[in-house]
Amino acid sequence: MAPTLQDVSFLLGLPVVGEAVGPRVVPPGWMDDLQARFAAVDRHPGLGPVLPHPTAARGPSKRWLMQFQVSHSIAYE
Amino acid sequence: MNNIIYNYVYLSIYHFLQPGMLADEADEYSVSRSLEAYLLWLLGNIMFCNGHGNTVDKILLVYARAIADAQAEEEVPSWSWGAAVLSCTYHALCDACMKTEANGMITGCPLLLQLWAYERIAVGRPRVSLAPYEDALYVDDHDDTWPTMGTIWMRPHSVRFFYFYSGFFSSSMHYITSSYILQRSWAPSQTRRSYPEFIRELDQLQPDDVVWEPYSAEAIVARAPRGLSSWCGANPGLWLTTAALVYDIYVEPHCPDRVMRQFGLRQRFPLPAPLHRVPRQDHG
Repeated sequence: MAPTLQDVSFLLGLPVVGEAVGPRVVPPGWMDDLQARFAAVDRHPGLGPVLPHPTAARGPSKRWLMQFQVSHSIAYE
Repeated sequence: MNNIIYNYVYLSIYHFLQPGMLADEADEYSVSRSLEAYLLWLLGNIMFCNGHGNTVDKILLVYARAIADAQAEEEVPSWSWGAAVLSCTYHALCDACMKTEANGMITGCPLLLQLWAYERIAVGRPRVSLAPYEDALYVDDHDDTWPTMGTIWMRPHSVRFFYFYSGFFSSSMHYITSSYILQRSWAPSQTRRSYPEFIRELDQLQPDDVVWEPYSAEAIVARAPRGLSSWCGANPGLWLTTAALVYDIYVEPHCPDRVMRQFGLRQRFPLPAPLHRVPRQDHG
């Protein structure tokens, strides 16, 4: 047995048509680009400066991204 | 050209989710970046888990940014996220069954794998209410935000709890992923000695213990009398395709011929996959 496109469609509701999510060329400077792009984000003043991205990471750091997370509770406050 | 992620998450973030770490009067650029960060989390933590644990696949930067920077729904290319998740999970399964280290983990989309198994066999199922979907799950008139078949396994236990979340998570996928973090209830044998217990139960499975056609019309009506998300069951002409499934450098054959009973057809001996596995080193 194996999961199929029908399972993906019914269980997750994801589209099974469209362009392939194929390989993409990521520029070597992706980390600097990412930090530069997020530097101008207008964060809450009490949060302090954005921490630098870990330099040895092989991809965007999850912990670093959490500095821009959406909050699930704030709308109910 | 609908794109689920754009359609749901983008709208959710503007209307329901609050970019919690942003200043009160943050500009649109800041909100778009919060969306980009959220998409990277959704893609990297739920849909395309990798073996690194603490980072997201680099190529997802390209996709998340394209969605976050789009000014209109029509600008977002319609990507086959479903095929990509399946491809990544097929690859993960091939990879996982070869692992020998004690701390080996399964990558891809473990959520899909769990929901897929829950639908078919009782082994390892969480305890959930099997009552039909309540009206509270239909917070929006747009049927693309309605629950999926998988929602039943993620439905919070109390309606009050659901209301707490419903305001923010209007989309079905979004709803599933958000409630993924909720604590599920398990039978005692699942929390203690689960591995030997599951193996024993799997060994004892009989053909009658398996739900072979979980998406029959009767099953859908019983679970969702008001209907499912319009994404569920869309493009049925593709379910029996043997086309390649692509995520990044992973190219996997779709093998519906191995699960013909799921489609109400007779199961024959599986044929060799139409697309032979390409050794990893040949991907360059």
